[in-house]
Amino acid sequence: MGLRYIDWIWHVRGSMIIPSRLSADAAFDRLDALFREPGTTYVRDGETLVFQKKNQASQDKMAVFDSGVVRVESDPQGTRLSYDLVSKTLLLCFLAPALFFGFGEFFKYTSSHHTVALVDHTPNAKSMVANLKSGKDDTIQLLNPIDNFMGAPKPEKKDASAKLSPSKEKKKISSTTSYVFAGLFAFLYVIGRILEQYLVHRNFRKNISKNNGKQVMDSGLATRRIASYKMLLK
Amino acid sequence: MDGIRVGNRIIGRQAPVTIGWENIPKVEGGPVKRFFFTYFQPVALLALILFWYYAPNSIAKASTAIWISVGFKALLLVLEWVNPRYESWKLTWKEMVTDLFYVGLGYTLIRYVDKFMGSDAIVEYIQGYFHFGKLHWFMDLPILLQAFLISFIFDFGQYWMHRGMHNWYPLWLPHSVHHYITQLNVNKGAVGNPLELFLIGLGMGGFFDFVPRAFLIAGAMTMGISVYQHINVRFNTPRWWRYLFNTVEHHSLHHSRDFEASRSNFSNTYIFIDRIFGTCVDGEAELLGMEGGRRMSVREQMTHPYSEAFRIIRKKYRKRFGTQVLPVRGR
Repeated sequence: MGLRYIDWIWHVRGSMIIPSRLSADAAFDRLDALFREPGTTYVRDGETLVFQKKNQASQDKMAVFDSGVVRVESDPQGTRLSYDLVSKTLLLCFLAPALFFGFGEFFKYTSSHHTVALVDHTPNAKSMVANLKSGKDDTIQLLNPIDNFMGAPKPEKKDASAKLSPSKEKKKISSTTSYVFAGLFAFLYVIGRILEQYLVHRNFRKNISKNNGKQVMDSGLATRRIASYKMLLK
Repeated sequence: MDGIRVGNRIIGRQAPVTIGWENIPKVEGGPVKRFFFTYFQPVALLALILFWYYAPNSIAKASTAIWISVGFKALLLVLEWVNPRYESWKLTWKEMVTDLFYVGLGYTLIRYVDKFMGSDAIVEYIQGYFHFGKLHWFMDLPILLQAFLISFIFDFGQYWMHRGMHNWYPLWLPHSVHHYITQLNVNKGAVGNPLELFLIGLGMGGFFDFVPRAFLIAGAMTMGISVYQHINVRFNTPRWWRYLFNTVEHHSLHHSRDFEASRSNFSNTYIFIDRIFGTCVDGEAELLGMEGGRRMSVREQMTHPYSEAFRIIRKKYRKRFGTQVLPVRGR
């Protein structure tokens, strides 16, 4: 099976109609600022721009992408700018739930097999048990008079078995946290897949519609404005 | 750049830094916004302490602490969005995912390893081996004092571990990864090589016995102070706070691209420890990171300490035994 059925996980693709008078060179010139970033290398060859990023800066507007191809093609509807961008971060975020789910399963497995507590090997374990059973170890009940005066709740007294069990329990770790993180990364993936596609599309559109920092005026609108200025001058 | 003399050191030769409090920008906006960002930190800390001090036993549990921590960090993320310190530290989706990956590792894998090999496990073994129990006399102290001692003992140990990491190369290697972060956000404290995260979590608290509630208050105190170390929020932090506690200003200097600045402000919570030992520098920096602000990928963050150690050992070995690899000549 080819990867084309699943590569949407880490590929972001899209296209937009750009002004038909824009040549490929002119379009890439306008996108230039997006690729003039530390860690980015790119090659322009006719109607194709290929880029790669390594250790890209956090605030790079295309930081989430590691490589990609941008093309300017003729289309029956006009000139079309299309892009195919690759993101390792999206892929890792997609896989992260599996990793954390794996942690959860591992913790579950080890906790069910971990029945030998360290306290069993502790040389003074017997005396600890004896103290607890005889009630000598009741220091947990004491609170400083200042705390009594200020109304701090008294600690609950634990019975001997409960006080010993933490040594066993301490070695266990809940799988729930891992599952929560698995869910969190699945959610973040969905957010990122939608958000990053929207942001890169918006950035391309914004840059294409800019000309040296100024908005490019629709040619019809420009003609109408010039006509109105001429009217004013008259 | 000329740099600024601080004690015997010249700070800011390699990268711009602001030294002292006078030139640090204030919160801009209306009176409500300024009031909020002036008193938020002390009020939040006080509220956390009071909550844990008076919470009934049925609520005063570790699970509650985790939920409060999650909720508090979510609130701080909103504050980062409302009142950022620097636009150049703006949180992006990629930064958030990377940060949360490390937060996730901290809550799962590292916690798991810590159960078996962490300081509590080591202390338990030592206590068992030498037949002595925990030091109980702390339990007679007032709870708030116990809580302060727990957090202080941990921070004091962490100060020396952290300072050691900046002064001894084998410890610097795992820690260096954390210094490749190029911006500060609320979860950035979790970013680092897992080996470093394990080492920095070692403490001596296991030798002492405390009232369980004191542990919870200590956790709240540590969180209520040190959470601001890595945060992109502009606060008008009160003067007394920044004299006693570590702030994002201090910690941004510690993460500065300037080498001398990065060798300051080692404590995690109590900056007065740095003041005592002469390593505190007041001020802030915007340009952070290493190697001119190169952002390290997650893969490199995982392997960097080991690959660097291997490279250095190989170099030393070759130098010592004269087994230099000759450059390959072209045909």
